[in-house]
This record gives sequence, structure tokens and C-alpha cells, in this order.
Amino acid sequence: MTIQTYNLTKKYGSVEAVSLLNLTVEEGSIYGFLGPNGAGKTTTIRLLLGLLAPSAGEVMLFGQKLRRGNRQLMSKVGSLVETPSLYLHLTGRENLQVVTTLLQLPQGHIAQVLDLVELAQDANRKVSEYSLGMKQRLGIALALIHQPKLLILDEPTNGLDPQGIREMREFLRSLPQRFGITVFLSSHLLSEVEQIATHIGIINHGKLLFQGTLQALQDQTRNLIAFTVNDPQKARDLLQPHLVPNPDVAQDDNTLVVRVNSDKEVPEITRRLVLEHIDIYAIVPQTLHLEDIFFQYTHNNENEV
Amino acid sequence: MQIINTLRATFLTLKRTRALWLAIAAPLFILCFRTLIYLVGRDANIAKDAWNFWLDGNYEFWFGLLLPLALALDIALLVDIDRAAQGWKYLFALPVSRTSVYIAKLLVALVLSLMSGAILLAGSLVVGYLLAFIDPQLGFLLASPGILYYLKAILLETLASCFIIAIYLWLSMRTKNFILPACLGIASTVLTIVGYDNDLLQKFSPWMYALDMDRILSKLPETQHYLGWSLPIIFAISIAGTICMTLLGIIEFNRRDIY
Repeated sequence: MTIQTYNLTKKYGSVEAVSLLNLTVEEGSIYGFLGPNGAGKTTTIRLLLGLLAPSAGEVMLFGQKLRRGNRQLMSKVGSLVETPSLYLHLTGRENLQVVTTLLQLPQGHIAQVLDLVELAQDANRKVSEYSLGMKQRLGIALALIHQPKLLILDEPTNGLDPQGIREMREFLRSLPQRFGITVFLSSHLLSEVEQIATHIGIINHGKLLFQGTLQALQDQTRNLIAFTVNDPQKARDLLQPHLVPNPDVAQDDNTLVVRVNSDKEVPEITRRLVLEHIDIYAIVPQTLHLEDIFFQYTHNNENEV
Repeated sequence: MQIINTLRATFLTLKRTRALWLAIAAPLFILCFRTLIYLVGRDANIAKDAWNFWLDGNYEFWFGLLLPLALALDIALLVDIDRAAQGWKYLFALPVSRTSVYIAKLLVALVLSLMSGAILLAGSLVVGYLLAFIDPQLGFLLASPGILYYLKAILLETLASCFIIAIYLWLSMRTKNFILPACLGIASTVLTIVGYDNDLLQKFSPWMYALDMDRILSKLPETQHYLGWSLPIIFAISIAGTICMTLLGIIEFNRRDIY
């Protein structure tokens, strides 16, 4: 595993920003770390980078426990946390030179990453003159200059225009194949992450609510059936294991949405309802969007909190 | 090796910064000020040893009056280079030791201070020869300036300032705003003026050590005022204080969470 966390917890006073987080990020994957604003994404990323000390739990990177000052481990990690850290008074090239000097990297790396993020033409301009998108690309270049094996990005498309978002998406998608880099990226936009991620983690109020492949998340959108009945409370008790909590597709209080493993379960459920003298007004197959699933996870968690 | 790389990288970030400009401008300000004073009271300034009179006065103004304030502002600006770039979160996620970053900042602050001293000396020499052309009676052409002595003075007086450099760095690394270091700089200038004739402050205020060193090197009669505190004692206290403050700063810096 490239990243593993064990019961990772970070408290600010009595507030738990991150609570008992158990992340698993496979090598070569693009892990989309999703959650609404304030869910604990940035705190998690700072914990993964050793910028914050955890209150409890631990972070393992490449099978080694993360400790501050472990330079050998951090040489495999590149990062971009929120806005890029750039010296605005220096040129793009000079910003990269600072890092190549610091890490004693060959100067050739500068040209390589400038080409990679398509900033070679503007490399000698001061960063204060760059657009937001150019700054973001330079931030990525800085994250990649020491050829890391893991790239950790916090909201990398923040502030980018649609074209910039698209280019960034294509670029990130190519990284595992071209360079064998594992990408961990956070976002509050599912639509953005679902287009590039192979794995998804959903966090809200510091708790990990879902973790798995994108396919596993997508599977949750299928095989949903809405039953409209006369006694929803009784039906709810009867169908508890199959129920999808708070589905957006439910039109009214009399409609319950259940998840079935196959079509054969539909007549079985119908029979059970009828045997309990529950009148069925309608049985309608439903399709959820991934966005609905994300909303369900985060919305349910809101209610619990 | 890490410290050398970090030092080189820190120097690269200095380019086009206010920290660099201040280190150049502050001694030039002293020179302009002193030149004005010198020209206004030129009759009284005619001396047998014009160069010593001119250079000693400039050094006393610099190390006694402006250096504590200039250093406070310069170090705050130096630390602000990374803070403004939100650089800590990037830097500390790289394979770089925080200790080397802290020490590099200290050394760069020291070099900036030395550079200011060197600019003061070079500027003083240029202005001294210009004054000689303006008024040959001032006596600048009667002898040569003792450049080696004044170079040594810059080095020793800067080393005597190490302690306050370490204090300012520790403070600037801890506080996010510019106001506190600036206030301390102003307060320390006032303290230096008050301490000009105060035995106790001369001995126990690190802000006075550069001026003390200047006086000891000048072999001024009032040097004996320091109750026997000689050059090695001031030097030793300054270095010991620098080491203590730097260790404290490094420990805090290494423990700090980056939000």
C-alpha cells in the first residue's frame, strides 16, 4: 500500500477534525478524497504530509511509519496543499531553481517539469504576473520536480476555469501510467473526481463514510426499486435490511426505496408486503446518480451529527 | 551538506525582496544623514585624523543607533518571504530538515548584517573622498583610511550582534505579524540610546554589545566604564546567547504544526 492510516485522529481542543480514519491507498491508483467543505480533507492531507502531528493513530507511507524529519520517506512524496506555495517575486524558473538547489537535483529537472506542465514559454516571467491556472500548474511542477512516487493534491482544480480543469484532469489521469505515480487528491466535487479516480473515499465531519473502488460506489446506484405503499412505517420495518436511507428519488412519504441484488427479489418483496396486508400502489425501478450517493453519505452523516 | 543547499536556496529567494533592499538602503541612509551633519558642522570637523573621525562616527551611528531597528525589520522581512509564499507547508513536506531551514535563515540574517556593514564602509570611503574634493581642508587627503581595521570592526561588531539577530529570528518565526518585531526594533533603539551612558545596560543588554564592541575597538577612554568587560567577554556572551536562542528556536520550529 502506498498510504495506510490507522485510526488517524486529529483534535483541535475538544473538536475532532479527523476521527479514527483508516485510509488505504493502493499503489498506482488515483484516489479521490471527497467531502464537503470543512469535512476534514485538508487536515487529513496535512497529517499525511507530516505537517500536523496526529492526536492519535498513525500514518504509514510506502509501508513505513511517517515521522517528522524522515527525509528518505518524504523524498518519495510530492504535494500541493490548497494554493500553491510560490515566491511571487521570482520567475517560474527561479521558483523551481530554489527547490533543485535545496534538494540538490539536476538542473535538467527544471526543463522537464516545465515542459510537462506546459510552462516553458513563461518560465522567465515573474510568478506575480501568472494567471491562477499558471500558478496552479507551477505548483504541480514544484510537486513533481523531485520525481515523487506519490502525489498528494488538495483541491488541485480550485479556481481554474473549465478549460484549466479539463487540462488538469487529463494531466493527472496520465500520471500513474506515464510515471508510475500514485495520486491522492481531495475535492468537494464528485463530478470532478469520478472522471479520473479509480478509488474513492468519502469523508464528512472527520469520519470516513465510504472507501472503495469507483465501481463499488457506482454499483450502489443500480438495482433500486421504489415501492409506494399505504403503510410506509410497517413496510419500513419489514424491509429494513434492503432500505436505502434518505434517497432523493423518493417522491413522497409513502415511497420507500430498496436495493435488490437481482430482479428476482422484486416479487419476493412484493409477496412479503402483500402477506402483511400492505397495499402497494406502485413499483418503479429507479436510477441514482453518483452525486445522489455522495449526497446520501454526507447528508446522512449530517443528520447523525 | 544539507545546510549548504538550504543556505544557497535561501539566498536565491532573497532576490528582489524588501529584505535585501533594506539591508542595502539602511546603511546608505546613515551615510546620507552623517554626510549632512558633517557638512553642516564642517569647521568643527576639521581634524588631524579625518578618516578615523568620519568612520568612527559612522560606525557608532550604525551599530549604536540604527542596527537594532534595521535588523528587526530585516529579519521580519526575511521570514516573511516564506510566510507570504505560504512556503512552510510546501517546504516541510519536502525531504528537508527544519533545523537546516532555521539555521540557514540565521546565517542569511548574519550575512545581510555583514553586507550592510560592508556597504557602510564602502560608502563611507567613497563619501570621504568626495568630501575631500569638496573641502580639502577637512583633512581626508592627509592620510589613508585604515580599511583592514574597519573591516575587522564590521566582522566583530556583527558577531557581537549575533545575540540580537537570534532573538529577532526567534520572535519573527513565532509571530505572524510584522508589528511585534518592528515594535521591538524601535524599543531596542530607544534602549540603546538610553544605554549609551548606562553601565548596567552596556553590560547586560545584548542590544548594546555591538556598540560596546565598537567602543572597545576604538580604545575610547570611556571603555573602562564597562567594569572590566573586555572584547572576549562580550564576544563570549553574545555567542552563548546566540546558541541558546537558536536552540530554543530550532526546538520550537521542529515541533510546530503547519496549518
